[in-house]
Amino acid sequence: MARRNDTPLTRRERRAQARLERPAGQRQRPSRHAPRPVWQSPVVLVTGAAVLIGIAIIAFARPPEPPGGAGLIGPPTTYAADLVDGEDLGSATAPVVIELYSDFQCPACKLFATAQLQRLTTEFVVPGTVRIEARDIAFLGRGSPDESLELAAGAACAAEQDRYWQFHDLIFWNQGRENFGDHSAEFIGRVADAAGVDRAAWDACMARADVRPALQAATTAALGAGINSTPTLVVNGQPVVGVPDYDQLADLIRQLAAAASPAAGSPAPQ
Amino acid sequence: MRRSSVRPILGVHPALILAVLDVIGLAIAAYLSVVELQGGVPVCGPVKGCEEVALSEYSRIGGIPVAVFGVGLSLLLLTLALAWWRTNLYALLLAHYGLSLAGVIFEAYFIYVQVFVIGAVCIWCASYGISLIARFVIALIVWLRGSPTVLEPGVSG
Repeated sequence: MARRNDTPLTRRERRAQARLERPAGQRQRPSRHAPRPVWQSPVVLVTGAAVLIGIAIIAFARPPEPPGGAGLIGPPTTYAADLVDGEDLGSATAPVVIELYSDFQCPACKLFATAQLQRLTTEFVVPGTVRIEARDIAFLGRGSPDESLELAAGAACAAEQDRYWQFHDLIFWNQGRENFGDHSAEFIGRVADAAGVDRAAWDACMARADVRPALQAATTAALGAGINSTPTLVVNGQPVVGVPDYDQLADLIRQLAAAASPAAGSPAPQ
Repeated sequence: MRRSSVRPILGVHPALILAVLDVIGLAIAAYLSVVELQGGVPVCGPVKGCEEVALSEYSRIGGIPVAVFGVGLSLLLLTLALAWWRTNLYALLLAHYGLSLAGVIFEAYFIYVQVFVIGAVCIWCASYGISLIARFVIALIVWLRGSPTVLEPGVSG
């Protein structure tokens, strides 16, 4: 129904008319909502959520605490007393000598110790083909106390009682996080106990002033000789850097053993 | 549904730049995953540190190599980038931004662990981290340069 021109417009009609008279570009309806505060903007919300997710992932990713008071993991290898002489393992007349450079905080050394050492001992050390001479260095430690140095000192003191290899294996099988305080004096003492040392003598050794400087000097000498990665195995003078491929290492040992005793035809262990 | 009007970067839709970075990150993470799942350690050439980082307990989450999560993240980001390129949907850019930010936060932690805890830096991990930071920065720049302008459903911006 048409409205007469002189009839006053209602408020709604006036608003509709004004809307039609507005230029097209301005014909959008004004927002019924007040501007949202900044913290409610999608980017801020997404940023907050992303930060929370990132922190949650980090919390989940942190490695578990090492074995604590509940005890230590027992390594599978046992060492006959006649094979152990301080830090050396194997026959004094073995044709192949492996100098084993390790840092007790080094994860790759742990891999070598836990995955290959037992087999190497069974197949080559026990039969008299290989002698392993441990060369502990401490170059991964940060801060004070230097956990690498303290672990190496503990091992050196265990070596004085011919309990080095038990100590060595216990450390690697129970290795904690690097430079996180996991290798405390209490932990190292517990390892020493588990390795079967005379604790009073071991404690006296650990308190000596000459133990750590000797290890630091050995570390400096090793670094000077180009040993800058652990584990490094020097097999009759040939360096094998990193965790070796066991089969390749075994082949190298057999070759060197055969070269050292050609008359025997070297029936090296398989 | 919000769609964004996108200003090109270097004459290219930013989603394509993100996609290229996602592919680079995917390639790096895939290499590390394959090597680590096979029980090996990545080859670093003259740069040392990959072996120590790869064998570190920090390189696994729940027993799974971190690189495997990197593959998943890169695939997700690549999908988001391509979907954003095709649709200009603002939410896809935001999702890319948020996920890459979460990745950058973890990467910052991982680099801290490498430098101050492990004492070795894996160049492959660092490269992945750089690509992730680049992806986050590009998504942030795109957002800073322009908010969504078209609010009508079904209208491309």
